[in-house]
Amino acid sequence: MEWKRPNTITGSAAEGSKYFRREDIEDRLWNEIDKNNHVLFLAPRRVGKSSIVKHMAKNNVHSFACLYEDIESDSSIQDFYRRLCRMTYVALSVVGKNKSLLSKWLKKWRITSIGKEKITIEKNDLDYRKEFFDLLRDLQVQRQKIVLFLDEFPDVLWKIYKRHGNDDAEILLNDLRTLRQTKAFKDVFVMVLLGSVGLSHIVKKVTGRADKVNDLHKEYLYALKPTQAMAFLDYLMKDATMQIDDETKKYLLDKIGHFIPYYIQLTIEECDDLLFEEQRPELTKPDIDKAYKILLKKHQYFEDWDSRLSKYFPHKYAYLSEVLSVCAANNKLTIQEIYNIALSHKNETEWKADLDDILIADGYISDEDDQYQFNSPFLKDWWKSRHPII
Amino acid sequence: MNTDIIQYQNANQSEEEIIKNFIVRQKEFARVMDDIRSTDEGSSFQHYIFVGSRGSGKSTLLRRIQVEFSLEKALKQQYVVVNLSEEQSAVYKLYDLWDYVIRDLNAMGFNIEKKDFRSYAPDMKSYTIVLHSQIISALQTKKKRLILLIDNFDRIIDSVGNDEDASLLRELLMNHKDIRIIGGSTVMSEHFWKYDKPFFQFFSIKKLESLSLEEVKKLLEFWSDKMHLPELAVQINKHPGKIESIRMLTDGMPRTMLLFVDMMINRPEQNGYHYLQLIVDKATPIYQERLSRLSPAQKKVLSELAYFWDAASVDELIPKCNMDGKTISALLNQLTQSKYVVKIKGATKNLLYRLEERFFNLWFIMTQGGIQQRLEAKALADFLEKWYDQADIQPSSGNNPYGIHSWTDKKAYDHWMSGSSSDNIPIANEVSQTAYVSIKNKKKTDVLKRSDQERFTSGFEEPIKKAIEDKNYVKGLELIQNAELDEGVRNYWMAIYYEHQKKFSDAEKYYLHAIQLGNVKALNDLSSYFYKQNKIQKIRDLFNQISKEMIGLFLKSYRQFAVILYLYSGKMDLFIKLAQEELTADKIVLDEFILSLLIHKQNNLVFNYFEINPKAKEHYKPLFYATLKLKGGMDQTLLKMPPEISQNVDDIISFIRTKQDFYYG
Ligand SMILES: Nc1ncnc2c1ncn2[C@@H]1O[C@H](COP(=O)(O)OP(=O)(O)OP(=O)(O)O)[C@@H](O)[C@H]1O
Ligand SMILES: [Mg+2]
Repeated sequence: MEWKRPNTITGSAAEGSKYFRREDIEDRLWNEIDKNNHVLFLAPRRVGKSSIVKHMAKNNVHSFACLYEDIESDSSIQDFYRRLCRMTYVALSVVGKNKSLLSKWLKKWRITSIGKEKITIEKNDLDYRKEFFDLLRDLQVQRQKIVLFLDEFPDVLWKIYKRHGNDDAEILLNDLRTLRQTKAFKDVFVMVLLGSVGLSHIVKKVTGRADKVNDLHKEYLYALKPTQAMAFLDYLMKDATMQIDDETKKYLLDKIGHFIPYYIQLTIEECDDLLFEEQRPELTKPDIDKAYKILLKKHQYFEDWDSRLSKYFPHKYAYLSEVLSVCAANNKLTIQEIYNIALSHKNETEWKADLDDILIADGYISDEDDQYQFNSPFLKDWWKSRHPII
Repeated sequence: MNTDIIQYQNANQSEEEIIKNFIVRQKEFARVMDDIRSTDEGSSFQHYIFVGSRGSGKSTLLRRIQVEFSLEKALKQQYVVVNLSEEQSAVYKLYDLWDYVIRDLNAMGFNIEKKDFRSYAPDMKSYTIVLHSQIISALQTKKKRLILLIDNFDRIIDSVGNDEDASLLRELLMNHKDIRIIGGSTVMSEHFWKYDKPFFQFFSIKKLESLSLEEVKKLLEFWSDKMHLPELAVQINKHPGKIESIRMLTDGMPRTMLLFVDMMINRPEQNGYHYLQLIVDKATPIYQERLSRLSPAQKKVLSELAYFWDAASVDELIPKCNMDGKTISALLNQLTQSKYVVKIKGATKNLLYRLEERFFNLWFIMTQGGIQQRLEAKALADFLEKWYDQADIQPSSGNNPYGIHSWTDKKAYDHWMSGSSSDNIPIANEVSQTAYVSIKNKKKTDVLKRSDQERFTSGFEEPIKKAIEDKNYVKGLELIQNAELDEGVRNYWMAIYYEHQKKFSDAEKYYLHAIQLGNVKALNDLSSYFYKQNKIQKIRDLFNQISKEMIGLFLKSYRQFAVILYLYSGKMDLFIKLAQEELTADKIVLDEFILSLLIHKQNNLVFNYFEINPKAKEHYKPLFYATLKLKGGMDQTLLKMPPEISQNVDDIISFIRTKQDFYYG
C-alpha cells in the first residue's frame, strides 16, 4: 500500500505548506504594526512564534518592506546594528524602489551579494549603530516603511550584557526607547521582537528595574483553542493515509490536554509510525495510548527538570515542586491556589517572583487567562507520576 | 569458508552493494526518504538526528541515504549530498564543518574560493559566517539544496564549552532553507532536550534501538543466502535460543549481530555461551580503549559496579571499593557525566547506579571478573538459550517455552524421546550442569544413572526408539516383543508405542503394567502425562494404588517432580517437608522446579529460598526478578534489574500466568 504521511514537521519552524494559519494572532500583530508600534511577541519555546512571523514576513499584503531573521548569535551592539543595516538594505532592495539610496550604502558598506536576497556587509571599521540611525533619517525622506521581525531578541540582550557589561545593554535598551518614542522613526521603522524568555525578566537583571520595556506593546501567543486544535488535526491529516474519526480525535486531544502545535505534531507522527508499521490506516484509541506511551518514554529527560530545581533552589524546592505537582494533578492551577500553596511553605514575599522567574521563565508552565498549565504534556505526565499527590 | 563479512561490509562497497547489504534500519530509512521526497520547495526542512550507540548502524544508514540521492534522478537534480563520515574527525568547530563542506563540494565540481582564516582572526565568527554564505551562494547558483550528513553531530555541538557555535548554527539553519542536516549521535546530548539550549526540540530525534529477533533473523537469512549456506538459516530457526540469548546480552546492535552471524558461518555448531565468549573477545580492544580514558579510581568504581551486574547503591559499593561514600559518589557523578554510568532514581532518596552500556557490563564480567562472575554469565546465557529454544512459538504469545507442561508439545516430546536415561526428562533432571551442585548430589545422580543402565539395555532400546520415531510401528512392535528386555521395560516401550500413535488408553494400561513391575520411569512418564493434562484425580488414584517401595524409588529418582506433584495434589504437609529439604542455602534446584513452584503460587517460598541462597539468586537472575514481580510491592529492589533481562522476565511471567490459568482457571 502506498502510504501517505501526515503533513507534519517537528522541530524547524513550520513554513510553506507545513504552516497552519493562525490568523487571529497574525491580525493582532499586523494591527500593531499598522499603528507603527513596536511589538514584543512572547511565548514559551516551541509554541510557534517563529512560524507565524516567518509567514507574515513572506506574505505581507501591505506596502511595507518586511524581513524576518533569527538573530541569536549577535553578541554586541555592533553585531546587532550591522545586522539591522543589512536587513534593511535587503528589505528595501526587494521592494525595488529606492535605487539611489541602495547604491549609496552599497558603496559605503562594501556590500557583496550572495545568492538571491542575501548579502554581506564587508566593511568592518564603521560604527553601525550610527550608520543605522543615519539610515533611518534617509528613510524618512523616502517614506518607505520597514518592518523587521527579530527572533530571539532577549537572548541577544542577555549576551550583550554578559559579554560587554550593563552599559552596553543599557545603550540598547535606551535605543529601543528612542525608537519607540521618536515619531519620525516610528513612521518608517517597526520592529517585532520575538522571545521565549520574558524580556522584562532579563531587563530586570540588567537594570535592576523592569520599567525600561514596560511601554513596549506585548502580544502573547497562546496554545490553540479546542476548535482550532481540531482544525489543526484535520490540516495535518489532509491527504494522509491514516484515518481518524471525530471521537478518536477528541480522545487524542484530551490526552494531550494543552494544545501546543508541536506536541500535537509529535503525537500524530508517532501514531502514524505505529500504523505504518502495521500497514493499517484506522487510528484507534488504544493506538493513541500506545503512541503516547512511546512518546513519554522517548522524552525521558525530565529527571533533569526536577533535579535542576532542587539543585539551584534548594530552599524553594518544596514550594516549587508542590505547585508543579498540584498543577500536574489538576491540569490547571489558578493564581489563588498558588498563593495558598505559597503560604503553606512560608513563602509570602517571593512566591510570585519565583513563579515568574523560575517556573515560567524556565519553561515549566505558562499562564493563559489566569490559569497556569504545563507547556509540555509529557513533562506534566512525568511529573504526575514522579510526584503524585496523595 | 572464511569470509569475514564485517570486513566485507566495511570495505569500499559499490553503491549496488550498499543497497543490497542494507538489511536492517529499513524503517528509519524509509521515513526520512518519504519526508525528503514529499518536501516541496518553500516548505520547512525537517532535520534529523539518529541517536544510537556504537555499532547501531548510524554510518551505514547515512551512507544508504547518500546512495539513494546518487541513484534517483529527481533527487540528484535537486540536491547535492555531502557526507562527513566518522573518519573525518577533524571537525571540531563550526568553521571546520563549513570548511569540509566546501572541500567536498569543490571535489564535486563546485568552484568555491578558499578563504584564509587569517584575514578574519580573531573574529572566527565572521569567518564561519563567510564560509556559510559562500556555500549558500554556490548552492543557489547551481539551483541545488544540500543534504548534509554528519556522523558525529554531538561532537560538533559539544565541542566548545559554551553554546556559541550552537546558537550560530541554529541561526543559520533558521534563516536559510538551503541545508538539511541528517546526523548521527552516540548520545542523547543535552543540547536536544534542555530548555535553555538553542537546539531544544529542534531536531527530529530517531533512536536506533537494539535489533528485534525478527531483524536478526533477517540478517542471518540474508547472509546465509549470500554465502550459500542454507543450513545456517535452518539452524537458526531450529535454535532461536542462541540468537535470543546473544541478542539480549549484547544489546543487539547490528555490528555485534553481524559479528555473530560471521561466527556462525566460520565456526558453526557452538553453543550460545561459546559464541558469546568469541564476541566478547572481539570487543576487547574497543572497551579497553574506553577504559584507558578513565582515572584509576574511576576504573575501580566502574569495575566494582559492573561486577554487581544489577544496579547498586553507593552503600553497597563502599566495602567493594574500599573508599568512603563521598568519594564514590563523586566518582559516580563523573562517570555519569561521561555517560559510562546511569543514575536510577526510585521512590526513596537512595540512588542506584549501573553501567549504561549493558554489553560493556557483560564484557567486564566475562573478561575481568572472577570465576564466580563468569559462572553467573554462563548461567544466564544458558538459561536464556534454553528458554527461547524450547519455545515453539514466541513466548510472548503465551505459548509454553518449557514444553514439558504440555503433552502435545512436539519439541518436548522429541526431547524426551531422544533420551535413554532419566536425565533427559527435564523435570526429573537432577544433573544441574553447574559447579554449584554439591558433591553429594552428584554422587546420587551417578548412582541413579548406573541403576538405570542396569534396567535398560540400551543396545536394544535404540532401534526401538528409532522405529517408533520413524513411525515404523510394525517394526517397532516386533522389536519390542522380541528383544531381550526386562518385562517392566518391555511394557514401558509398549506404552510408548501406543502413546506415539495417540492411543492413550492403551498406553495408560501398559504404563500401569510397567509400574507394577517396578519400572519407575513409567511412573514418572504417566504421572507427568496426567499432570500436563491437569488430571488431578488420576494422579491421586495412581499414587494410592502403588506400593510404598515404588513411591520411595520415585522420590529417589525424580524427587523434585515428586515434590511438585505433592503440591499440585494438595498434600501440603508432605510437600512442605520435602520442599524444605530441597530449598536449602547450599543447593541450586532445577529451574523447572522453581517455575513449577511459581505456577502453583509459591511466590513467598521461592522468594525465601532466594533470600537464604544468594548463589541461586545470581544463578537464576530472571527467575528471581520474575518472583519479585509476582510477589509485588518490591519496587525498590526491582529497580536493580538489569535491563537486558527485562523482556525475559516479562516472558517468564506471562508463561506462569498462562499456566496458572490452565491449572486454576
Ligand atoms: N502554525 C503552525 N503550524 C504547524 N506547526 C506549528 C505551527 N506553529 C508551531 N508548530 C510546531 O511547533 C514547532 C515549533 O515552532 P516554532 O519554531 O515556530 O516555535 P517557536 O515558538 O519559535 O519556538 P522557539 O522559542 O524554540 O524558537 C514546529 O516545528 C511545529 O512542529
Ligand atoms: Mg523560534
